Amino acid sequence: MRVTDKLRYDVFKRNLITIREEIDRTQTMIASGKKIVKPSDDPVAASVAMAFEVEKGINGQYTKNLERLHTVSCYYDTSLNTIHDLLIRAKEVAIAQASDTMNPSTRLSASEEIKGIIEQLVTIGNTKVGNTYIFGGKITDGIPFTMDDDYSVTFHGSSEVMEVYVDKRTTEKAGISGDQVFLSDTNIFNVLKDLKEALEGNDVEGIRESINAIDTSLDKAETNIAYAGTFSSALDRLIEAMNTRNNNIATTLSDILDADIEKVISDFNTLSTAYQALLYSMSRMQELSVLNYLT
Amino acid sequence: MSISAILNIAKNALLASQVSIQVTSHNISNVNTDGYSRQEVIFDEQPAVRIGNALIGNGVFASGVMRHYDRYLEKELSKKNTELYENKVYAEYFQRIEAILNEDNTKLTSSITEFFNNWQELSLDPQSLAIREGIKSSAQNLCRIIRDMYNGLTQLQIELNSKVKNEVDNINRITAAIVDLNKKIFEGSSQTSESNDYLDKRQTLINELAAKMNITYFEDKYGMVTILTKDGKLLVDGGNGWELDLLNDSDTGFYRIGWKNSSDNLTDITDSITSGSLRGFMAMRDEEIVRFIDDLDTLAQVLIEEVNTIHKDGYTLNHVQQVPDEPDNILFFKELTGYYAKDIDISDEIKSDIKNIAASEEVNDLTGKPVGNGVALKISGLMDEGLFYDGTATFVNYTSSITNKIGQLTKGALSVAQYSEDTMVVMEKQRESVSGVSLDEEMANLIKFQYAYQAAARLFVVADDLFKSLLEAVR
Repeated sequence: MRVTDKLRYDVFKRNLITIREEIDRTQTMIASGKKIVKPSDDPVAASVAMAFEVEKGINGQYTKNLERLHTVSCYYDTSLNTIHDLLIRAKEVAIAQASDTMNPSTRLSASEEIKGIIEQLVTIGNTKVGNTYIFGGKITDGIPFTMDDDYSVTFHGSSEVMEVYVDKRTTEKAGISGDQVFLSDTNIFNVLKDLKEALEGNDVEGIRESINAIDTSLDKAETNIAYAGTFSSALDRLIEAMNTRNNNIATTLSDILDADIEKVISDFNTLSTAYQALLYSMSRMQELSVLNYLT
Repeated sequence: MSISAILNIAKNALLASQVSIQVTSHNISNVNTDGYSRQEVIFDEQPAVRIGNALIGNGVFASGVMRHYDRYLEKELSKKNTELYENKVYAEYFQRIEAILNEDNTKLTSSITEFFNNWQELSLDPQSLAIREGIKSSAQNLCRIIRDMYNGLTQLQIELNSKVKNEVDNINRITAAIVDLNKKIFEGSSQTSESNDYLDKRQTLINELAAKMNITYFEDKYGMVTILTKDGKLLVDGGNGWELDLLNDSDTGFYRIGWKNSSDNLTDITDSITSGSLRGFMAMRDEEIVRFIDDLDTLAQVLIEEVNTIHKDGYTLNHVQQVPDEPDNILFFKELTGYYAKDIDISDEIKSDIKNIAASEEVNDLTGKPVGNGVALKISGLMDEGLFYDGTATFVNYTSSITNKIGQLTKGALSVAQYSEDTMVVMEKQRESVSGVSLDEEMANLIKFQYAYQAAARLFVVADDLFKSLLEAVR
């Protein structure tokens, strides 16, 4: 084969371009630390990485939702324990006042304490976290409990609670309704109101009956405390699981996308050596011309 | 045989060497000219003269200038050119589309996620105005991204369309030049250095033309070339040329290609252009880009329709109580009937008042206020629902399948273009080895002809001496 001058230069030029391209690609990898910069570098890995990236974003939102529920669940915990304490106090008052040694005036003053307890329960029922009344159920923008002058309490919330996503296609109840805590089965407010009225009316029989009713209420309060505890520990587990999952995703993403810097740098060195060798061989080839021997 | 015959032989020899040196210089000076074929002088003996019973040689003459050239290789090269330039178009434009669709630049998928995440936020706090503001701005951002991507793709189509126009202009310029060269080649005497240069130029132009569209060509007995399109329409025939012109496609508004006959009537030959850069431009414009525009349209349409269907059954913060109570029927995205990706935007109601964003699907019968987070929950749930490919793919599956598709296409186009280029390089090497100029070779020739010239000049001195001795003898 005849090797002409143009051919020699063209081949040199092409080789130069090829190596420069490779050097450029390697440099981008070193600079970005990534081996996939464009989808065409590795279409499947790029689309998989994208899906993982999104999943990380969505999981971030689920984690946020869970953490928010967790904050609220702390409020429930405190509130339910306070309710329990208040009921115990009411029971103590009732037991004391049911005794025959008490008289109408002590009972009347005890009824004031019960009024205070009812007022405190209403305040607890109207606990607000952020924009939300936590015992309002689905109705979060209005006060859930109002109390009349005669200490009868009305519930304006809903018995159902909102749900929020905590995972793909999985929702979790976003709280406990005031209905479940105060009203259903036994209406705690009515029980205390009856007690208050019995105390005012010096109705010993009525006071004794309330003790039983308060016991039922206490049972309910305890059930609710247990429920809130389970709820909060379930949230802990979910948050933990979500964190583990996000860590796994981060590891997988790094496997797919991150360049192995040691390898890339050694590739870079090989390429720059090849580049220098090419330039050297070209300059040596230039000396091989009959022109250099003609005078 | 006379002494003057020696002078004559010397003169012819001198001339022949001079011509050779000239052709050699021509070769040297064209060492880097693309498409140039190395030339060589063909020497022939002058007819012998009979002297007595012997035939005596009568010197040399340059009978012509030969061009080192492989007709079949050139034909293959022009065919290869058609393929190479089409593939180069695909490689270039798929890379451009890839840049338009690349998630790293657009953030499309992460914006979709952000949009639906904001709805989840609203489901946690259905009354919040701040979160509604977040939903509004993330929706506007998402709409802008989809519109930008759409515009990027249509801009590319427009660019390709003007390239089609350019190519047609180029083709007409080339065929006109080929016609011109055909005439010159026909007029010029054969095998002179001049007509060899015309042949080189014409071959370069034919290769250039072949890069743009698939053609067939052959030479007639006068050395003129005839060029036909794939379906047999003449572009060049000897000294006559036919032009291509643009037609407007009434459906797409883009150009089609017409062939103009001698009475200036246009025939649509678009479909017979099946390769070359012209085909590449049209295929990108009419098929490949359109596919991605359709993908974007589907994405926008599903987004608009699914969100709207849920949102219009919701109760907004501006809800006014009626008996019986009805949902507010407010659309979140502007309702569109086509061009979803081009015009996607949030509705005017949402744009003017974020309280028009509904979070609830129930209403309090007593107060008429929205209750719960049903709408927010349902809309955020769309993120994980199979809404594409017959219910098998979610938003993320869909966008990542677009990424995968453009990645595969770009990768394929790049490797095919690389392959075409590599085979082209091999063929060009072969062509160079037949037709290319080697300086070393030319230098050797130069020395060879220089010595021949010097020797011929020497003959003059000898003849001169002979004359002198003859003249002195008779003095």
